[in-house]
Amino acid sequence: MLIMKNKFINNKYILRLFWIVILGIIWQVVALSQVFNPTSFPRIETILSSLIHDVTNGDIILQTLYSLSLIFRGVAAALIIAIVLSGLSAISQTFEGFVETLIAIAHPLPGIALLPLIILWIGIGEGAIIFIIIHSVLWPLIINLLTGFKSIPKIYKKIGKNYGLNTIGIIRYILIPAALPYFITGLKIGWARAWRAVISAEMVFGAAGGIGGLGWLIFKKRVFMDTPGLFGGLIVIVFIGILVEDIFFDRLEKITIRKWGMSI
Amino acid sequence: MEKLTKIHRICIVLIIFVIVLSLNGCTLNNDTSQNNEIRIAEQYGLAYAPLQIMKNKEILKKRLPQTQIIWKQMGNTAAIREGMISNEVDIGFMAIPPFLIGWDKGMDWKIASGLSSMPIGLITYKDGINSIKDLTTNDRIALPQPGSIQHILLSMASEKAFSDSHKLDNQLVTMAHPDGMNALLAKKDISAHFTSPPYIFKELDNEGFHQVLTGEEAMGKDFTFIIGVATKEFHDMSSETYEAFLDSLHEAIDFINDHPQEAASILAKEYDLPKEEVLRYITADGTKYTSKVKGLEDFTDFMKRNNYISNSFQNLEEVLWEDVNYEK
Amino acid sequence: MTSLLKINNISKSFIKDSKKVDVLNKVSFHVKKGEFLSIVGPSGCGKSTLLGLIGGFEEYDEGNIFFKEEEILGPSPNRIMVFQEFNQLFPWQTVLKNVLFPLNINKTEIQLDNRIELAKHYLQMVKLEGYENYYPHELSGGMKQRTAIARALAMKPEILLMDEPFGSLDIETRTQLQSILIELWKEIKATIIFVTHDIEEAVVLSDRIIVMGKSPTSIRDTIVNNLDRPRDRLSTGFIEKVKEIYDKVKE
Repeated sequence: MLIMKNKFINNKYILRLFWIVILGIIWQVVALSQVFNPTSFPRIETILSSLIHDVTNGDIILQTLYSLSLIFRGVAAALIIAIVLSGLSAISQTFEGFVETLIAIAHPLPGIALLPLIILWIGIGEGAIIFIIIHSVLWPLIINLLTGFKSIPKIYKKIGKNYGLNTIGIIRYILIPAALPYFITGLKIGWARAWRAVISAEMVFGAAGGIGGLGWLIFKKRVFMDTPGLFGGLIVIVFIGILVEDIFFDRLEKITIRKWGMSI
Repeated sequence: MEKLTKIHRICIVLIIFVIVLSLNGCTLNNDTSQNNEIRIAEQYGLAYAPLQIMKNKEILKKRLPQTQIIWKQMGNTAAIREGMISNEVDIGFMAIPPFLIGWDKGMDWKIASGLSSMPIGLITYKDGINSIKDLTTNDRIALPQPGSIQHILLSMASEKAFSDSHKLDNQLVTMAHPDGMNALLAKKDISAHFTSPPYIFKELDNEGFHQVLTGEEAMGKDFTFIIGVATKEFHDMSSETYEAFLDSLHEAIDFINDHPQEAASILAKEYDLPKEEVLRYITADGTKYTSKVKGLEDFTDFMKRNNYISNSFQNLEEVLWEDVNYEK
Repeated sequence: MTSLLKINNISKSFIKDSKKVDVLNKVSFHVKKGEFLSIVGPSGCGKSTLLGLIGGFEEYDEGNIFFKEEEILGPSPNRIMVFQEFNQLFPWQTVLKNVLFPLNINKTEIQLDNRIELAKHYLQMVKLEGYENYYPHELSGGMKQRTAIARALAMKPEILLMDEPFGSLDIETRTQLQSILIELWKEIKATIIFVTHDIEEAVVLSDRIIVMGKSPTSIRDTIVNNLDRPRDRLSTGFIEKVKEIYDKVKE
């Protein structure tokens, strides 16, 4: 059973690699055929050597770390707000109505559409980018947490009370782990949205003092027409995306909800 | 497993087939669209005034009744450049530095004509700032984007003031002109704004707002702000259209210079500004509508020296189409 | 012997579709320490509601329930409930952790190592040794219910409330769990109130059987079951007992 499972996992990664190689070959064929201007369709080795250059001089690494640090701060703040708001909603129906109204108003607004307002309110620095990240993460997170709390079987609370847990104990030992699958789903959506938000916000705000992040790097590559470098930046974005979604979240799910048979 | 590879092989063949087909489609399209079309890309601002005259007075249309004329107003230079690479645009208007960056990266294009010189410069509301040496590391400077003429001029001034052209690079904030103006007027995050007309005039109309640096001071002489650039494909394949376009452009430029009053009333409509204001702007000191191209070598030398570009031209034919009114 | 649990004239009604529905009407009975009592009756007769009231999960309208001379006001680890639902185990905990969980909350005076030993001991008693590190979703229904029983018993409750715990199991598993439950009851001298609609199950398990009718219900009859243990389902005495109760339910 275990061996079969491993084989399957290996297969999945091999399959992924296989398709990446195939897409790479197609890319290279198109690039070599010169159907497109080489300025807009560089060859793979040009892209890779530009990426290696950016990695070795350290810029791209610093900028990636900077973008990730923005995400980390934004997600952490959104997490706290989401837990407080959804927790209060679980307790009070009036408050839940308020939070649901907030969601109805704010959730459909793309962060970028709020930019002019954000500039007026917060200015143009890191704070503004973090605000956009919080905005993109917060609402899916709250929605999932609310659904998560609601979908907890009533019997869990009964059992908690039967075994002598008080309200805090029930939240700590029962509601939180029971809502974890929804929490992880919310976090996954939140991460994906934060990652897109930070890249686009950085392209608008630029390096407002300092080195800037990956979005800024790509913007700079664009205005200086460094197309291979631009593709290099895109590769890093894809790479980080795969790293987080396929490896971090996959692992997290494997050691929690999938192991527990709680996947939704 | 064997079954899987078979499916894969079929998929690969399909994908290649689709790609080859779509490529064919592209090239076919391009061939047919070439002859009866001229696609011109510009940006917003008074520097592009002759183009508005051309449109309004149908100067080009009279010369080319059979040709479809497509005007595209784009948000920034990078978009125009990308449009020209992908053969969506035949003639684009921009400043000299973005042209040089494209030329350096191998774009097959050359300058067709000058368009205008404008009073551009760095504006601040802070009393204490009278030269760029007064800027502290906390002072943020808004300008359109790295590699823009505003950025290159600021770098030139930095090189003169600090012997380091990159000194202010970490204080730059990329903003489109209207956003930059609003941010400066808000007196909050932005200390200074490197901009061009009409924004520069509007900012200077506010009390306490003053100019720290002019483009001329940065460069050491006056220079052409906006040039018209044509792709080789358009220039070679549609030479008659190209000629007609140049003639129209020069006619429009002459019209503004010969009939400023009439031009101002046309432009007032185009820009939705009072006529007196437009007249003041287009006749201001430093505003010049001319086909002359000036300052090309100075930009090239500076940008090459500071690694913004890696090649410089040996002779003018590499960067200019024939009969361009050139001044060193 | 004094009664452990005294139920006096309990009435309970629900509001359903803005109409008042009486479920229990003046129900009274006592439970002695160490007794195995079953409550049978058709579905919807209020037997589960009655058990819920004893558990303290719901409030009664009239009458009172005394547990060791104290009125019941809410749930307590003294009176542990085992439910019919398979999802009464926490899916994020292993079998061992599920059993350990109430001990960790209530029996902190015992050292952790000993708590783990205790939990393992009860798992052994329900014949689940070797499954300590399984997660609930990896268990069969019968194994889940056995875990739930082990979890309840490990707390050494003064009274064990069982709400049709074997109701969703197949016959074979159910029979097997019945014998395990009897063994446990004897071994730890537990007091058990067992709700079921399966008359045979009640006769196999209990000392006394309360028969309830259709709601609004009071007790129809209380039948003492003195058949020798272990009970033989095919013996004449057994079959007669089943028939006697069956007739009472049908009345």
